[in-house]
Amino acid sequence: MKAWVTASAVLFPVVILGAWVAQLEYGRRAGAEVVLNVSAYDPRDILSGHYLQYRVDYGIPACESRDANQREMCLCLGQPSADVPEVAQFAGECAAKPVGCGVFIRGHCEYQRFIAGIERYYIPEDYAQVLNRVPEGAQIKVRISSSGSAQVTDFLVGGKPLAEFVRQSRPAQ
Amino acid sequence: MLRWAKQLETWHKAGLLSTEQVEQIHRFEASQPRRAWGVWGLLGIGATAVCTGVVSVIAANWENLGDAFKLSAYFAMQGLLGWVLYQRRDRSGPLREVLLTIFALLVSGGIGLIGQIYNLRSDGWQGLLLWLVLTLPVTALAQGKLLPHLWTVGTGTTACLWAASNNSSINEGDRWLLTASLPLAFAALGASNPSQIKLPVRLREAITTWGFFGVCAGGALLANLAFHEGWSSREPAPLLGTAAIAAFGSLAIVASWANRNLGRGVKLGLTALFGFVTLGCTLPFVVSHFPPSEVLGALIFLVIWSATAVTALLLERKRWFDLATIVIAVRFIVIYFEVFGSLAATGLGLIASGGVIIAVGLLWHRAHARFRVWLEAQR
Repeated sequence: MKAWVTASAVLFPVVILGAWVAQLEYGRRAGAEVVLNVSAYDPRDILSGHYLQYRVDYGIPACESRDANQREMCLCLGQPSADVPEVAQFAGECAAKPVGCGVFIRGHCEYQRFIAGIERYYIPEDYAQVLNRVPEGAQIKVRISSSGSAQVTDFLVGGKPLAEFVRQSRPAQ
Repeated sequence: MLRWAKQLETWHKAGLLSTEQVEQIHRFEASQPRRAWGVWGLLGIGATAVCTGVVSVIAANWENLGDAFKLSAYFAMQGLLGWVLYQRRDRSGPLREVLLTIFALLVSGGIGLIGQIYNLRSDGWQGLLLWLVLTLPVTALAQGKLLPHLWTVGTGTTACLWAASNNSSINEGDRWLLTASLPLAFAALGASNPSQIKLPVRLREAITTWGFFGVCAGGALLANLAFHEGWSSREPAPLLGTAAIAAFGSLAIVASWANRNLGRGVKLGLTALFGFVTLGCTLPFVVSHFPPSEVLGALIFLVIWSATAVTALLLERKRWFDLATIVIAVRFIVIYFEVFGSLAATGLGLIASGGVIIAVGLLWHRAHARFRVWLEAQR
């Protein structure tokens, strides 16, 4: 078999996955950081237990109309802050967002919910005993790029990192 | 004792073979390389266990390991395996096939790990689709059956997950019909002339097998349901899906007629099979106010499987023929439960159909030897 054929076949997935990681890593470091409130949501998902699935509270209704299902939408978050939970100021079609929109998050409507791909946070296996549901006062830290794509970078409970909350919630050994 | 050895003993006792001939055959068989199914089975189970282990380690999401370490470890493993495969590129055998399979399955572990580290949300099909694209080149390199079959089944699974998810601007009816058109596309590739459309041998085999199975089983079931339920009133009309089925169905017919390796009878059989599946899966959607009918649903199912049986017979695929006749017999019985409301009518119908099935079976048992002679003469 020709050497370049085998080399291309085995390099192809490695290169593509490497490029994907680089792009995600760039998204994680660049962009505006915002904090959003989240609340519990029953996902009926066979894999739940390995991650927390939640509903993001943007402060305004975004997808109430039935016609909005699967339509691309944008939410304007105004001026970003890494500490204060954001409340959206505008929800609607991306083309219609106001000029002074500032940081915006792009997503689509699904069953009257705005989905931006940030509704899941993976947790270590041993957290599952403490975190059988999303705790009260939970927030997520999100990085949003200039094109509106968002990525979860951290999960907070009462302003503290998840690991600390789990440590405090665990019964004494 | 092996099956062929038992057969030899029977022929020897009947005086058809001499002791010397029997010994010669034994010596010849002993010198032939064995198809070690047991070894292949063990290697397959081993490869699956290794990959399940890797996925489990990733799924555990160890908090004491940093993201950079986890990603570096994954890329190191994938790269190392790739390098070993590159070094062994001129060798063949079970080890190479196992390494290729582990390499491909490890890619799925990598996709899962990246999704986990960056908290990506997915309905499942997106990750599988990426895996299919990334592993197609290594699947094409496979000389064994495992990876090509795994890849082909993966395409069907991905299509079904996509059709079942709500995360698409394409309506549900179109999504399912587009999914149903996939086996027709595969069958079109399978029916094409290998010298005209060149594909890796094992990949072609897997695509052909699953394509035909999907066309026969899935196509017959979908056509049956569409006729039975009368889905013409679905809103919006699934025009995209029906167009895809019509296009791939026609392509499959054209491909079989363009294949010079197939006899005229086989071409006619394939035309009937693809034609009935295409009509069955499109007519109820494009004809407005198509009347729902249980009888028509059962009839199109039986017609599709009859075309399958005839084609299998002409292609000398005994297992396919046997499967088709069993499916026809079972469907024949189910009709009575569907069509007749009362227990007495169903019972009488079952007695009648059981009698017909037994009669057909006996007739076939007596006539199939003569039929084979006739078939040979036709060639």
